[in-house]
Amino acid sequence: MKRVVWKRACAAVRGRSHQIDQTPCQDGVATTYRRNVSVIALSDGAGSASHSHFGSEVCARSLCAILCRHFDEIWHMDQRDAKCKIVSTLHGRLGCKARELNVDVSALAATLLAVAVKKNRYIAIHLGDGVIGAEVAAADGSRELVTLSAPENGEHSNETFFVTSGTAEAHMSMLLGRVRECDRSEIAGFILMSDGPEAALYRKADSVLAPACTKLLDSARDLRKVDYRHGLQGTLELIARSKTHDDCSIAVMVHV
Amino acid sequence: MNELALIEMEDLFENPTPRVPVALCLDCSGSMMGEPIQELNEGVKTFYQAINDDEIARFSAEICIVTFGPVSLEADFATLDTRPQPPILSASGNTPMGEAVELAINSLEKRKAAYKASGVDYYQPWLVLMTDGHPYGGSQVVLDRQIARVATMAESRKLTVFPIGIGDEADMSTLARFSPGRSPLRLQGLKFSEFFSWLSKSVSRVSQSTPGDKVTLDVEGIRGWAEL
Repeated sequence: MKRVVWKRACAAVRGRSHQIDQTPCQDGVATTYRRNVSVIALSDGAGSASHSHFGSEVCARSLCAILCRHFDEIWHMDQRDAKCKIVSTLHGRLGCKARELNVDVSALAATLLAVAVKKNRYIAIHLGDGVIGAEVAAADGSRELVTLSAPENGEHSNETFFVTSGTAEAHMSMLLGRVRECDRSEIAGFILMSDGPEAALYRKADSVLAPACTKLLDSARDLRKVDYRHGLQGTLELIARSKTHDDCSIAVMVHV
Repeated sequence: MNELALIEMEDLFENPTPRVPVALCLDCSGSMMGEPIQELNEGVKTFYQAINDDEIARFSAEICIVTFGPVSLEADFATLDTRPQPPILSASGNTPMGEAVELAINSLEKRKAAYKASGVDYYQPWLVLMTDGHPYGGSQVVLDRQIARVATMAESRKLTVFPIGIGDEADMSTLARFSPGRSPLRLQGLKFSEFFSWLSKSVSRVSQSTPGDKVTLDVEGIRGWAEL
């Protein structure tokens, strides 16, 4: 079987509202390859939490580490136990950071989005808003964008769920799937986005991803890593300038 | 196109701006005749103008105006880019507060259903209830039912309620029953414009908030229009 290599990239830019307030970008992104597991992760710190930029950074990095180290274990576990393990591990890491900063752990509130791939299997994890999307290539070569996990807000626009919420496990979604299916279709790429770019790259009314996502995934395949990173940064700056006041972050993973 | 961007503007979606529904339930009974109704009209005009001047709130705030004397839906929920001018309010009749609140909340529920059906996000709705007197000329049963309805919505954070009394005759104890968490405030004299100016700033703050943001009211600003 042909060896599949996953190319990964991520970027985050500060939104206009945080530029005005002189506050840091609260989105954290990370990617890792270890133990045959490729991971992309993204986390959006809560606006109301004073140190959530630290929280999102810890969450993105920790998710990468957890999924690399425990991929097989999580794959085989009961879903409820797996979610419990992920949330409690994150709480442990956030607790350490909170002690270091001398703040309550709730000051580190953040959302979670991650996709990990090991050979033909993937695990997607989502808590809160933002979107996890995938590009599916059919046997005839056609490609289609699909929403793997939609944003979960509360009833009102400025409400969502965070890793520090009491209901984190109940609201966390975990998808286990195959990269290549029996009908010879396969997932050619994954994209994670925070709620900033979600405003321009995702249509909530019918849960559809914008054509721009295809371009972002195609460019990830075609461009050199350093050029792609600059391009992704430029894309987020364009969205942050024209479509949202919020921070913007994206992580992509494509097979090449 | 940004020279570094990997995409073009036409590849992006244009999602509707999340809405802030604001229901103004205003006492326009006979006792408001003369200067009070003039000042109220000026205040509502100030509110519309301030929202219109705010680049986000203009597309985000949806204002509905229900009046009593005769209970009337003077303006149903709409953003100011579609309906920039406020209605001119006139004073007459009694004070059927319960029926007016019922109409305002029913209109709000209808609007929320429309948002949900068309995939439009919305913030926690606001109800501003202003009166210069006691409920009179309506049904006590309706009034009690609407007080319970609004108080429940406020307690479960489905509605932000601002009960405002105008003048010394305003029934502050009935207003308080609508809002268990936030005491009613009495307007200083006829400072409607100051109140509506403060309200527009508060709406603007909400319209700019993102998930996880805690929107705090400008408590200092309240001193400019309320008796504290």
